[in-house]
Amino acid sequence: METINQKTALVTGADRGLGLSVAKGLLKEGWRVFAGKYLADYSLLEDLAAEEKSLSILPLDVSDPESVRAAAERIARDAGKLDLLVSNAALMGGNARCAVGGDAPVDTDALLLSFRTNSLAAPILTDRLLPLLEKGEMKRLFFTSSEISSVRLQRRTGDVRYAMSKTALNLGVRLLFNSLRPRGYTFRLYQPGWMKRVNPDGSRVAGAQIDPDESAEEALRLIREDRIDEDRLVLTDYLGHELSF
Amino acid sequence: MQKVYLSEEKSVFGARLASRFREAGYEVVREPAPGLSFFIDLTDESLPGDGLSVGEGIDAGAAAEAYRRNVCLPLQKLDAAFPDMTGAKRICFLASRDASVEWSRATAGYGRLMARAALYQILTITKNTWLAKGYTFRLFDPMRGEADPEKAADAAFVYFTRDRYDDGPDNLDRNDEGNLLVRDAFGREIPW
Repeated sequence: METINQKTALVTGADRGLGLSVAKGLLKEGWRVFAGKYLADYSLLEDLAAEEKSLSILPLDVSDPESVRAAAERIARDAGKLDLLVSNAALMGGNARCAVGGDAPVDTDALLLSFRTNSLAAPILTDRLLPLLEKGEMKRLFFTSSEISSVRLQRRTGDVRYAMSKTALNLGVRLLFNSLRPRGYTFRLYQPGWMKRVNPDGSRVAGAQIDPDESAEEALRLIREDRIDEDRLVLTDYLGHELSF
Repeated sequence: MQKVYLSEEKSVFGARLASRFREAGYEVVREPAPGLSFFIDLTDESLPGDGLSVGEGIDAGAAAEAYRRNVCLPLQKLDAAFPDMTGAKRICFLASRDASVEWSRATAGYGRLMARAALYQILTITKNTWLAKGYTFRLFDPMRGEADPEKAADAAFVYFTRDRYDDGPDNLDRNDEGNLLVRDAFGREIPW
């Protein structure tokens, strides 16, 4: 249920993990949240929607222009504005072979799929949602990146698919920043850490570094608080530390 | 005779670079194959539909096609030559300051520039794997539209052919050859 001056957000990739935790946190803080749903075998969003009247679930494949168009139309119809975009949806590496100099050729179809989903979707979403963001007051754009995107810090070998896509994302966000920062938009580029994977029943897979809820706390702080250096595009992690590009 | 794969020599930059290699006694070939000393890819394609800024209707199809042409196709060619290179075993690609997350002032060309940034990453990871086996890497910004393309090609020739070992090839983690950098036609380092 929308109330007067209720802030509105779209969170993509909200089926589980960081996206779901950020959506929950925003709802607790009184936001109206549109949550992008992609994974058919997860119903955690539906469970949340049963308790939260300010949550609307949108079917959303960020790599599909038609799906993005439909989501933008739905938000326009139901809210008429957007204060915050949390662009979080991503594919992990998968099993495709994407390393130079091995036994089989680089799987360029897999590279393109990762590019469309993890990199290009963020500027496309921003472009299609811009009329709604213009009507919002906050004009804040949050993008989930990764420490693996940092070329300077890169020490890995082997598969390149996810890393390439997140490096490309950072550059796409830079181009958005160059256009939109002068128009009052503020940017967050976030490294969420190595998070525990969430099962369809909400339980966590053992291992990894932090829980998505813990990472979401820092994400929510970044969303909530203004920075003193908004004219710099920075990549920060779940501890609040700035990382090199 | 050592072989150099050069992806094109139609541009002023490419023709001059080919000329410099031939003058230095190299055979310049147009198809990647095992046995190369240098793999030099000059691909940097701008597509008309990829020139839109945010709010102008960024063309997802054009951006994806720019990525395919600027990353996927060159990587397929590199795969055809790799890892059976000889001599310098040097892999060279073009760079652009507009693809630097820290420095870029660009507002359009999403596919082309995001492709370039992704290329920096795959070359870094490839370098991490293959440096110890004698492979070396170069990223060069020809400063299109700013620097004279023939002079830029001369600078590229020097950057591509000169080793950056300060004290021999044995301490890769302690000398410049162990680090992948972007340098422009004036020799300046461009941040990632």
